[in-house]
Amino acid sequence: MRSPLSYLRTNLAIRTAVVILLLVVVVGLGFLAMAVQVIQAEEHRQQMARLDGLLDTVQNTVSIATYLEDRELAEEVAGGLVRNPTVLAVEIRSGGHVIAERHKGGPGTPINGDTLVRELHSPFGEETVGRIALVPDDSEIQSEVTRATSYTIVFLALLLTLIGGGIVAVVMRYVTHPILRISNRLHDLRAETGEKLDLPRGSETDEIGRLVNDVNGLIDHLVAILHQERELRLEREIAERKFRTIFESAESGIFVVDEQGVLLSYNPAFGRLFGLPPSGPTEHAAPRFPVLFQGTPDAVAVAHLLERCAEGGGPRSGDFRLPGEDGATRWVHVVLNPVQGGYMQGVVNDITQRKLSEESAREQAITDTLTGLHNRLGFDRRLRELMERCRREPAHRFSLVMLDLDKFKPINDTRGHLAGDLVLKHVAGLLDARVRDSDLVARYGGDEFVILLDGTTDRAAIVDIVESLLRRINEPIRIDDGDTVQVGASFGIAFYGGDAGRRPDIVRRADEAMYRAKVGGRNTYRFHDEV
Amino acid sequence: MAVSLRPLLLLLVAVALSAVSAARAEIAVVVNPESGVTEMTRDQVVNIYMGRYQGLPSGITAFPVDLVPLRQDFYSRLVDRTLAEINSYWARLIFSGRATPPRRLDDATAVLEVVSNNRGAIGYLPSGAVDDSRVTVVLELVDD
Repeated sequence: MRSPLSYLRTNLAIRTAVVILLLVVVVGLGFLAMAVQVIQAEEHRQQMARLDGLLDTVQNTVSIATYLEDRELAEEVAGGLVRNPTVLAVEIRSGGHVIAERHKGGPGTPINGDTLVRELHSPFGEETVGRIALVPDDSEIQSEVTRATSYTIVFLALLLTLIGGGIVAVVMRYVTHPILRISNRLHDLRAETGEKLDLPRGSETDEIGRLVNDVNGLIDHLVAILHQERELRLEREIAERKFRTIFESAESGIFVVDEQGVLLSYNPAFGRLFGLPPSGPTEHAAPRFPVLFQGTPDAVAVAHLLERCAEGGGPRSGDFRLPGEDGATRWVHVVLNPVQGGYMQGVVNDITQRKLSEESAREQAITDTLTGLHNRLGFDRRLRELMERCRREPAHRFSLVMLDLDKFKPINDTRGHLAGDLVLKHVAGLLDARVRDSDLVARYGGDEFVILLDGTTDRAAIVDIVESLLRRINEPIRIDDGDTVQVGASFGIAFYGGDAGRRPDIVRRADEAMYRAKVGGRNTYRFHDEV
Repeated sequence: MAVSLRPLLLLLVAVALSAVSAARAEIAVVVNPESGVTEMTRDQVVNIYMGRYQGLPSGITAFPVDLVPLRQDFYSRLVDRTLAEINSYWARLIFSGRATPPRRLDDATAVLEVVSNNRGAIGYLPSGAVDDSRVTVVLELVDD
């Protein structure tokens, strides 16, 4: 059950009517109060005038009565006066004492402020002989006032009721009712279907008409936007489906991580690559991306890549190793790209095959195919590395031993190239066996070899190595047909770094020393700084 | 018929009296020489004649008398009232008994007689009719 007050709050028409009626009542009461005041004052004035008139009527007689102090005559006059409904009491004095006194309803009525007093003069002169006092009957006045007021109330109430009712009716007809209708219609309106408000009759050009037109305009706008929105959503759905297909069927692993590297989503290819469930990360099992590389040599590098990408500054990429099946190493190429909201989007490709072919190509490029030693390119690269190291570390040093086979050309000429090749392979094996892994042996060209001895310029040690090599090279070499051949070798040695300084012409100096060894009788060695 | 003639007669009398009063310029108010009063004010005379006081200033009970031929002139001079008014005045008091009008005498001789024989009597006479040996003049009313 709703209380009447709640209707006041929720119902515009009732509230308007009640407020207008209240206003009318308040105004009415105000007017009434004023009217009562005026009526009262006027009634009082009239009463006094009437009493004055009464006194005029009896003045002569009462003058005589007081003149003669005639109590009977005075009583008669007083009795006559008090019979008048507007008179409450009469007192007639002659000289100093009361000669007649009449009260309606008994003696003791006070002669109060409203009392009408008139001095009485002698009928035959100016002498004051007494006075008469009339007390008006207030209850009579009051009843007169009440009567007059009740007429006023009736007329005023009638007038205000008509005016109030009229205002309520007009306001209802032209304002509240149209607004209520609009409000109710709007309440149930399904704007998305393009429903519109009706224009209330008679309100086409006023504010209500404008309100309805504006609302209809808004509805139009709304419907247009809704339509547009729906089309956009459809387009987006199609596009999203397209992208999802690409995402799902891509051969590359695609994934999204947050700033911490936690995997938020990935595609099936990514799952296959890292052995994760193809359906994507779950709430309970969302590994961090670097964790997938845990235990590999590149774990730190992956974490670093992630950090750098999170710091911003565009996409980052790197190649990282992964443990593959049966111990083989797999390579993946990771590209991380920061996207909005602190997320990073990544693509992972398996580049194991490419890595392998690259590796072998690089190997081939620096390997001498006949001997399996480094070729001249491999030597040059290593030499540059060592020189670079000496530049960075002034204490570092190394030695270059260059050797040229003696009596090799005749073997090649007389025994054939195969025999020559055999000799070259044999010597290569000897050289390679004699030096440490950190040293490098390369075929410099033809029957020339070079050895880079890293970290040493110790002449005694080098002499030791060179002499032992000389001995072994000079031993007979068995070739295919059972014969043996013999070769010798001339060695030239040059230093780099340390006391020797960093003179870049180390190859030329070694070559020169080797030339001097040949000239000096072959099968021997010379240091570049010897005379 | 007699009633309807009365105003006419009154008018004739009034004309005659006015002729008399015009001839006698003054009216003298007189009292008994033994009343103890030698002089009275106009108000004192009015109070006695209009019934307000029953005593002379000396305390003796007053006995006022009217001289009928001079009545109109007397009351006109004394209180500036017509006889009709004076009559109406007494008529009001007829039942109360509080006051009685002065006794009416028809001629000056009768007035002299009554005043000289009663200690409390008071009357009025044309000035010329006053006999100083028998009455005392206490007030003279001159024609205005």
